[in-house]
Amino acid sequence: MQPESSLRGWSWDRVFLLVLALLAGGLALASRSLIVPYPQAVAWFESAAFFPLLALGLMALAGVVEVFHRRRAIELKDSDELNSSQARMGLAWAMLGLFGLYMLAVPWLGYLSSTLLFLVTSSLVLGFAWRTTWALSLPLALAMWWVFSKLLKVHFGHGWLI
Amino acid sequence: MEFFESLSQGFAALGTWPIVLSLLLGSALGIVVGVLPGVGPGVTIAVLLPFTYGMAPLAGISLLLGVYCGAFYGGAVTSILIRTPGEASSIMTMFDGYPMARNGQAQRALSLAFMSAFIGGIVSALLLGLAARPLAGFAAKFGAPETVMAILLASLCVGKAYQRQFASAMMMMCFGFFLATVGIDPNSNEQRYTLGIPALLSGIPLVPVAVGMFGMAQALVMVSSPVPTFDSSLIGRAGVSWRAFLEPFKYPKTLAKGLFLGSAIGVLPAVGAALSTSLAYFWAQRGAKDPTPFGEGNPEGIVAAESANNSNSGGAMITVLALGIPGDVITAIIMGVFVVHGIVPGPSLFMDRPEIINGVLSALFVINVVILILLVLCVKPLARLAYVNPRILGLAILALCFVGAYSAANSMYFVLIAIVFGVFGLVCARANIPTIPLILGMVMGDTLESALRQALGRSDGSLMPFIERPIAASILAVMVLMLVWPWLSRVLIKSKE
Repeated sequence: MQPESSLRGWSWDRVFLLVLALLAGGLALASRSLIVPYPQAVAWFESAAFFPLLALGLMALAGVVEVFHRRRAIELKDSDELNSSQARMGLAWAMLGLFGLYMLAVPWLGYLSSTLLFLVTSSLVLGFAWRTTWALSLPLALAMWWVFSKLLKVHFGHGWLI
Repeated sequence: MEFFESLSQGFAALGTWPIVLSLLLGSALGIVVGVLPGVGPGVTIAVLLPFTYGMAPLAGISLLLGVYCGAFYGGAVTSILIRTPGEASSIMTMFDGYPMARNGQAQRALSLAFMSAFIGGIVSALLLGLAARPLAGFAAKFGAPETVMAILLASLCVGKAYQRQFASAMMMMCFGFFLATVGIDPNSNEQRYTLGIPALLSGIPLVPVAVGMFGMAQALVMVSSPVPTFDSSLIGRAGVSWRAFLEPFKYPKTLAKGLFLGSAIGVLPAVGAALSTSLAYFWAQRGAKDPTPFGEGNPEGIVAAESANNSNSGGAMITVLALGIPGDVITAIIMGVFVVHGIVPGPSLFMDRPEIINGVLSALFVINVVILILLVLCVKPLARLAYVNPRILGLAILALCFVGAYSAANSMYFVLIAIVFGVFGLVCARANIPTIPLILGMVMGDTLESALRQALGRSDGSLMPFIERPIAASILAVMVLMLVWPWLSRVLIKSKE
């Protein structure tokens, strides 16, 4: 942890905050082309652009204030809401990639087979033993398929398999 | 008298099989997610939300309320037995519960926690029944300017709750307000920020955003974090002691402190149970009856923390029902059930749909009784849930997130939104940027915009109604005081020195 009083450079969280603030400012500036048709002949308080512009302006301002506030070191290892300090981000991104593939596979393969494939692949990526992988994946995939597809009648489309 | 009449009508409204099953299922699920470290009620409620759409409104709300309340109770089990709080609000229970369990008093500690939480739950339900109607009567006097000021006050409270992250919380709140404006403007039919994408015409839906930010982000953290190790030697000692069930009444002062702080803080937006439990715990240290030092197994520590913890639930529901303003992310999602069924939370709800109000009130009583019975019967097998590998849970949650987002509209577009906001939630967690204000902003954004445009439209753009009308001006004064207080207190302290 850096001392509270030390000044620090452009750490990634400050850059991220600045990007968010710039994005808000950019959206506010581009509102004339992003609101279709842009209200021309109405009073400012009756305009459809008034509230989003206000929200974006305040967002950009708050973002810049936070970037300034964080010029002094703060501990980033833990969030108050979700503690991700121990998370291996490479693994998290890999799991996210698998989830994206799962999303693409469902309409092609069907819900049951895609879920089973996702759970088996993910379990292997997470380092579970083969026995654990199948003991977890098969019952879970079958249970989810039965509950959501059969019992709750969620329609997942018609894939090659089930 | 009116209270008991409402209560009996509410019990009658709950007397259908779908609602009874929802209450039982929600309570059981709530206890389970409370026991499982890492899985919070927010994740569960976000994933469950789409499945409540097909239910009767009261059945859906009962299911989610069961999860909400059950998690408060369940969190104590792992705090006491394995020194791992199931919920952030159960941390204070751990300080004295675990030493008691180590000293061979696990059953006493668990019984104290369950009974204190039960008393908290019943008192908060009573508070909801007694305070919500008068507050709604007061809120019925609100015009557009008062509504604007009330929402701004709630937003400011949310920002203040994050203390040193005030600016980032306000940034996310404004981001939520902005996201609520995407789509066709209901007043003028102009397309706002839709980028020519037809799916965005109906706006950015709340369900996949909540599933992504709370479900997916949490699941990704769980699967990518190392499996925590804990001392499991005490899990076998789980159980209840009937004598200890009456013990909280031996400490009426401590109990009263917990109940007062829990109920009062529960009403404040975003402050949450974690603060009320810690304040109650430290307050209970003053004038404690039991001579055991706090932190070494004092039963009053458990009584204070758990009574404060569970008395939050009723308080948080007061602002939703009476003002239409959610106090935290869970009540924001519960509010989503109201909105989906075309029910507008707020003062008019008491006139238009009294069966919903009475049903929620009665459901809170029933849920607390059901949870207590379930805990007494199943505490031993429940404690064994602590053995479940968080990575397996994370994987299961990830698979459930897909269905949770997809089933809201049977659309892959919703899953895509969940992925986008899941990534955003994860990055925000790494950068210590709060995400709950974004959801609150999305929920309150529509109401704020329409009230603001209405208020300004009537005054021809003048801001005077916000200053001239007594209630709006009073709320404004409170907001100004909240903003200048840190600076003012510093000046006052300096002048004293």
